[in-house]
Amino acid sequence: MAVSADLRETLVGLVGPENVLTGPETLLYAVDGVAPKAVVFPETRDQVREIVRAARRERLGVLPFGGGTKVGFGNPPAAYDIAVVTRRLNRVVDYSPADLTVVVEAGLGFDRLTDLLRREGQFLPLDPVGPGRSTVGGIVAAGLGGLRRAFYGPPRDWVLGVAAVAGDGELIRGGGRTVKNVSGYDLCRLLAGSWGSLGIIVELCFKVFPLPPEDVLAVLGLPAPADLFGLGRDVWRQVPYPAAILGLDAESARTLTGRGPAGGALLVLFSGVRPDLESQLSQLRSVAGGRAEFFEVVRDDDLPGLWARLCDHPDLVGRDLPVWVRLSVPPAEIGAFAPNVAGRRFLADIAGGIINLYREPDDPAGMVDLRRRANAAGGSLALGRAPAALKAAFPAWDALPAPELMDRVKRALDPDGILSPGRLVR
Amino acid sequence: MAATGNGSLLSALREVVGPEAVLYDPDELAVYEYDGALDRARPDFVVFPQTAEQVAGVVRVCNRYGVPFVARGAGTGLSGGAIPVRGGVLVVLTRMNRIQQVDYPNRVAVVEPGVINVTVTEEVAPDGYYYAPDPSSQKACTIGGNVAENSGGPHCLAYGVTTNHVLALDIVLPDGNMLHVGGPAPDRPGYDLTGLLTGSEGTLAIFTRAWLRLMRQPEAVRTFLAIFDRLDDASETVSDVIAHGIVPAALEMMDKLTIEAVEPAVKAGYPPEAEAVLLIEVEGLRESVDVQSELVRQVCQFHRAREIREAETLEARERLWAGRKGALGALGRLAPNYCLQDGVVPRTKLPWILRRVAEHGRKYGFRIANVFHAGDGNLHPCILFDEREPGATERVLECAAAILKDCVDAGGTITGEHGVGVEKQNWMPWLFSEADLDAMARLKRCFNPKELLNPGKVFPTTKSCVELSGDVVERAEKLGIPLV
Repeated sequence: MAVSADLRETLVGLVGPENVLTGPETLLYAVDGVAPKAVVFPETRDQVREIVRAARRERLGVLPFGGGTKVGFGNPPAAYDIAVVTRRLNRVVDYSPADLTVVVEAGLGFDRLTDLLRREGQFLPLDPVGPGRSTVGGIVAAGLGGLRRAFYGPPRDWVLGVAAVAGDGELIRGGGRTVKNVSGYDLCRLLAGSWGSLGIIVELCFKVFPLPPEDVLAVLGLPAPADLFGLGRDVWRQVPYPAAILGLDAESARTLTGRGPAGGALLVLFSGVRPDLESQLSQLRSVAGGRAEFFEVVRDDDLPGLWARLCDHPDLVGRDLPVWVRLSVPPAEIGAFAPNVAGRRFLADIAGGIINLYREPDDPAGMVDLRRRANAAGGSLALGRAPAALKAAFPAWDALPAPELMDRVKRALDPDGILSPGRLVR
Repeated sequence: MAATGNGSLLSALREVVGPEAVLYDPDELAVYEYDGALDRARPDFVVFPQTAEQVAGVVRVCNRYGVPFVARGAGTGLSGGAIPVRGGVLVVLTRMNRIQQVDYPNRVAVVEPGVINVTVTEEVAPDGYYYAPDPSSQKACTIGGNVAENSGGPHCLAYGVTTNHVLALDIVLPDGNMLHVGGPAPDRPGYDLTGLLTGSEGTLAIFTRAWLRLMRQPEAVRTFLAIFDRLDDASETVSDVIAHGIVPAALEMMDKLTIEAVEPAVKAGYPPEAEAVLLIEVEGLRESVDVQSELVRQVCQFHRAREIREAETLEARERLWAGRKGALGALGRLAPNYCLQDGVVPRTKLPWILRRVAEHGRKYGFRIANVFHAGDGNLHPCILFDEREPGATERVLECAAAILKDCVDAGGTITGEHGVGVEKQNWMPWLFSEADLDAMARLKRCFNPKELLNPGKVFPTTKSCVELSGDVVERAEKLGIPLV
């Protein structure tokens, strides 16, 4: 195709032939079944700027692409000509353990960052889905809270500084490298959760934290599903500092923990020094009372692997199921949604108010009803993945609040609407 | 100026908020021409709305007359965020001061903007909760102002600043439209407008309601005062505590000059002959607090702390904190005026920047007291001066600029929690490129296209404050708009 040949030539001129794909490999970067005309792997932020400028001249649709772990979110792209894969923008720019800050390029893998930090006894408590594949830029661009969200907060609480290439091809920076900073508008928060629609994030400064001395995970098997969320909320109210309270359906509990209690499993994570952990475990036992049919404690070398598998829930809990529904409600309302997950596979963050529900694309009327109920409770429903037919009938996001204002913000940073068009906003 | 007939701005404002809720007498306005910073600008009117609808009504009136307007809480801000540099209408929100709802299951408090910071914690403390951000002015400052400035405080080291604790806002846009952004449910789709609005220094919208995150009180708290004979030892202790994997709930530092001011005023028990004291608080679960306390002691001793005192009772703890929170007030005893700055450096640069602050003090001929959030690297150099001395004010600003330039050169920033406001706006280019500032200006126009809301703030300007005030009257006269 002539357009592709020109486009390829332009991109090769910008980043070299080794950093451009235009053949069948572009299918690996398909979004909602649409493959881009070209896939480009910039190695510098200046290359990202040049790519965006070239795309803007031709009004081409550009999607930033990290590890692809959350590519199923969002509505189908209105235009998808170029995938800008950030994985070769992966340098550690500056790590200062004594300052509890790290500056990295956006394509750095979360696992590599985790290894780097661990050597200094530190961590970034984001628990992204697919921790082995996700990039820091993708985690922030999606802005989704991880399994310890209720305790540590969502990604945007950990971003101190950001550099991104906006839709006009300019590099824009917000924040800085210090834990406190109120100079200028908070572009970090604006870009977090913008799903690549305002700018392509190229560099991030994160606040990091000392690793807790020890973690333990209590696994409680429940005899009947009805009490799972109720018990989780009781734990949240009555036990001082759980780092996470998760609920798993029976089948997923069997897959992940080896035991499949009929009513699913409640997983409670504690972090801290040994005596506090023991005291918290004993408080947990007394809250659970006779409501759990078993109570196991996973610790030491067994825990990191299990935790990583939990973070991989879209592939494990959601294995073979084409639809991922991410339901988010005020935490205390989560119990009301127990009937909606009955008999289905799910991982719930009971402390944070999030249910990852996996299902077949059946019953679209039920989905509409679920969204309506989530909205009525002050929450929202997002599709984390779904077949194109379902997305065509059922928008991936709720109607955005303040759409006109959001639209103005979009145009302020991406005047021609070339970045991730249609995915979050038009 | 006297009130004249219908159709005037005065009568339109009175119609919205009631005749008792509008001030225009110059003597009454004088109280509202300054906040906690040095600059002054007098409003033409002050209004006291009691509802969001009244706020929106006032904003619509201002639009109709083309008059600037500025929101104000308690006026404790330290960067001139609440002064109307182009005159116009000051929208004082202190009468909107109800805590509307406390929702413990979701750990949220819904409050009006005029609620005083400390009253949120007072309201929920009996039930075992608190609101974490605690600016030193927390007994006076309002939540609306806190959100506008993204206020910090001593306890932001472990739990983050205001933006980490605001879940949602009701706002009035500069065109008078009312909007709700954010919510108590996590990860709401769409741009994080709550995050963008927080810390926007009153330039994007007026807040009429805020949803605040409540936190559960810690199981245990221990508070220490570590006393040092050398400033360097104290500042090295700070980064070393963090390097030992401890993030204290608070880690504050005061130097000799501050202690000298605080002791006679507050009697917090700081030894006057010390070169520096650190106020260190660790909290959390009982055993971990004990472990951390022991580590903190060891680090302090390693860095030659002369003495480490622990507050054994709640009263003793409050007395130690009274010294810190009363420090700025007490500094007023040492000189007729002070200029307080708010630069930040990476923690590890603290020893260096403190030496530089002292050098600048000597060079410009001022005494500078240091009282600050050491754990965050957030300095508060307080330059003491006497404005009656010819040229002193100009030299103070030069001295402040030199200190902040050093902060930027060390990888830090010009303001950590006070805001840019009118004082530091021309230093923004030290931090941001033209493209950065231009992007922020475009974002501002999305909300505030006519720049009627809080004009002349945050971004670089070539006009000084003095030149700007009075614009409204002149413009109104030119356009034949009746002001009163």
